[in-house]
Amino acid sequence: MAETQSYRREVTVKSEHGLHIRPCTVLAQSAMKFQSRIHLNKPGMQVDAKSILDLMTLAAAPGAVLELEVDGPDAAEAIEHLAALFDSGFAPTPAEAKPSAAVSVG
Amino acid sequence: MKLCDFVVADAIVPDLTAGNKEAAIREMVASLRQSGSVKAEDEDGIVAAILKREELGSTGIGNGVAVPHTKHASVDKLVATVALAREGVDFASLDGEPVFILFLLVSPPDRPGDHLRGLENISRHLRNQSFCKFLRQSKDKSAILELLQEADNNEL
Amino acid sequence: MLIKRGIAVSPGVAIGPVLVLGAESFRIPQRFVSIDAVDAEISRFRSAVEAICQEIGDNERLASERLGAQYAAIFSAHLMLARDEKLVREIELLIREKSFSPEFAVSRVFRQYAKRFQALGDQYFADRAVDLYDLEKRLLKYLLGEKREELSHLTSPVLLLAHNLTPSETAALDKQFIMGFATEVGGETSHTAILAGALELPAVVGIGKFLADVSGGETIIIDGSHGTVIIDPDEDTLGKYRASEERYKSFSKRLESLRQLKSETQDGVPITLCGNIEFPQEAMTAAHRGAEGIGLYRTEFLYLESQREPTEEDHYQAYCEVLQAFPTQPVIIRTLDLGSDKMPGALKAEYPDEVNPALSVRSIRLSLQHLDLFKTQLRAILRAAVHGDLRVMFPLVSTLMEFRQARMILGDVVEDLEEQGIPFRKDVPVGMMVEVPSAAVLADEFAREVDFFSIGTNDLIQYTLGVDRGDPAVASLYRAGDPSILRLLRGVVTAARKHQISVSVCGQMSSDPMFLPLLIGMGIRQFSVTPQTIPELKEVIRNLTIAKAERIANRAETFDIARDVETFLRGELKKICPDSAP
Repeated sequence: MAETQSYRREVTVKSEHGLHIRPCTVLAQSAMKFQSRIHLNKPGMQVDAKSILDLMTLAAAPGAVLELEVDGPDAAEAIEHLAALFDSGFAPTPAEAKPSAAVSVG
Repeated sequence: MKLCDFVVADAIVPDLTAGNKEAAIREMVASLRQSGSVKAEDEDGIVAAILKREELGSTGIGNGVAVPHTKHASVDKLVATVALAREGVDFASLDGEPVFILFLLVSPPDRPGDHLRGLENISRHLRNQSFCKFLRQSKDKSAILELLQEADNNEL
Repeated sequence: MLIKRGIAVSPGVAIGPVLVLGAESFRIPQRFVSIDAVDAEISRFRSAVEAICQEIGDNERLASERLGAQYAAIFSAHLMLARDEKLVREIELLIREKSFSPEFAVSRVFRQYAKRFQALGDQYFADRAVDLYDLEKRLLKYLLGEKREELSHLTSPVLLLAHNLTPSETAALDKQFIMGFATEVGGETSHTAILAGALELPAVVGIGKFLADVSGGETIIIDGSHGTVIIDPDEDTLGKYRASEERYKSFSKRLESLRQLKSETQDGVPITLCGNIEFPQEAMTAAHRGAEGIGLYRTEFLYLESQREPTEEDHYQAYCEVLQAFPTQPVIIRTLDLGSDKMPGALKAEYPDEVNPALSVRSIRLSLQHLDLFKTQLRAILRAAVHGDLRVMFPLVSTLMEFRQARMILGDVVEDLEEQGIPFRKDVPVGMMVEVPSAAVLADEFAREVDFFSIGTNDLIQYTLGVDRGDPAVASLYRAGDPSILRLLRGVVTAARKHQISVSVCGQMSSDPMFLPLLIGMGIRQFSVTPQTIPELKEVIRNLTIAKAERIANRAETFDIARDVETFLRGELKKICPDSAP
């Protein structure tokens, strides 16, 4: 079994409307590319970052501070990637366009 | 999509010299070529395509306005120009009246959406009497451009 | 015995055992499945998810082509929701561990999430619950199959009671077993009501809450002529209604016999009676009623019925279906006639709510602002025109410029089809509705450029008198017999004659036998009417001479208030047809 790493980092919601459906879509799509278990924490609440539904129940407003928690073989890479997404305010980048195309099968 | 997104400022013709439909179209396409928006070798092809479309029914839609247009593979984005014909041009318009305002559009065939957005946009503004009136009163390129910007910002 | 009153929308009497459709749009047939079936049920659930993902993917592509990437993003979010692993896991767990049916598990999990969204105290997220309900509905629709479960296994005649029936459900009713229906909601002009008339099923709508009083299986009577539903009738009532059921049948037979007779006046002048339809399925009924073509095919249904915009193929198939019923006779298609307020989906969001829809972006104005939508419809019309005498008509034209722009777009479509080498007809006649007073006033100018006029009296009256007929406070001011309307009609007929183009009347005024002599007297020879009224109108026509009609028109035009005009016309009709209705 691959070596497990754990990382935690504080992230700030910078997207204009907070964690609305689109940022959640981008985040969940990105999280799913990693094997690690990825959670977002806020006081009294933990959600699965690979679930768009869970992410939305955070109802995180712009400026909200959340904790990103990643455990797994590719945790180091995952936390950098996802933190960068938060920093960019979830602007879709060419790198994000790819997994979304892979999802839209059919 | 705004007028200024696709109307090529350098290609605006404030004083069209042509006296007939074909010459008017030729002069406008030439102006697009001079501004670098279409290549010299495609000029004749574009003019021919626009004239072919006119045969199916004039784009002179009345009120002194015509909107000649075509799709042409030589352009990679929607480009357009505006011309004012001070004396009026016989455009075989549906109402039989000469046209004074011409919008000419050339769009790539693989992007029909942009073409339609452009036509929608132009037709919306042309329905505004002030827009048409002020356009005809504009003396030069910069006045025309300013008016297009005002229309884009819904200031008319 | 219990008597309920509603709105009579389709005449006739039906008596029989009752079938109650669940008030929920999808009745979940069972809560549990047997333990042995769990694996099969899970794979059934998975293929449902796959199928709706496919559907959403199709919509996404369509939206991105038509509306741009930002709208498509909504669908990619839907796709993510549908594929949400956590959600799928939870549903599968319920099926596996609790032996819940996939339908029940889907409904339960989606509803839990929707409730959580609603409880977040944020309007944005509360609104997203709608997305979840939408997904739930799609999944259930797939799992349960297209038809409501109860309707697909009928083996004997029943009368249907439901909270509501969608137009597509109504259109799909099996006439072999459904003898009539009644619903709690709905109004006189609802699509369901219109369809009931077309299907000739006795129907009553807008009864209000009453389904709780019916257990199912008892005998009921639906009186679609008077708007009553009688649950568990006593013997006397039953006897009375059986007799009236017979009377209605023989009246229908008498009208039926008129179908074979020509629609012409006593002095041999032919009067063309075409049908107004809304659904392709109505075309055949219209033909049976004796319609000589379709004078007004309203195409809004195509836009309203589906979650997505109709494709060119949707349009094409619908038009071809109508042409099958009328292979050689004229079929006039009216392009999209909706207000932005009625548009489904993304289009509605583009326009502010506070504007007055009747005076805002609607009909041809909407088409000219959404050329891809418009061109899709025009392409289908020109293509279908290969198969018959199809014509196109633009609604709500208020200026010449508008008409010319629409015509210019038609030219673009011709060019596209020519370039693509797709078979189509180039010389399709292009007409317009005369329904805005400006168009009636300038009829002479319009007539030079237009191939035919069709007078839409409903809107013409509304705009001329400034009355919204749907507003009970002013509805009584809405009068087809108003002298102003008569004068506008006269002007349009004169202009059409001068320029030798055809003119017909397609509003509700033309379906009212009272106005028929007046309109014929004014010189109108073509009408497009509600198909069920054709036999009755034919009877009036066959008892009329042109000279008499002209005398009636001339006299009617001398009155200066609507009431006098209408009283006079009513009196004249009584003289022409003393017993025109039962």
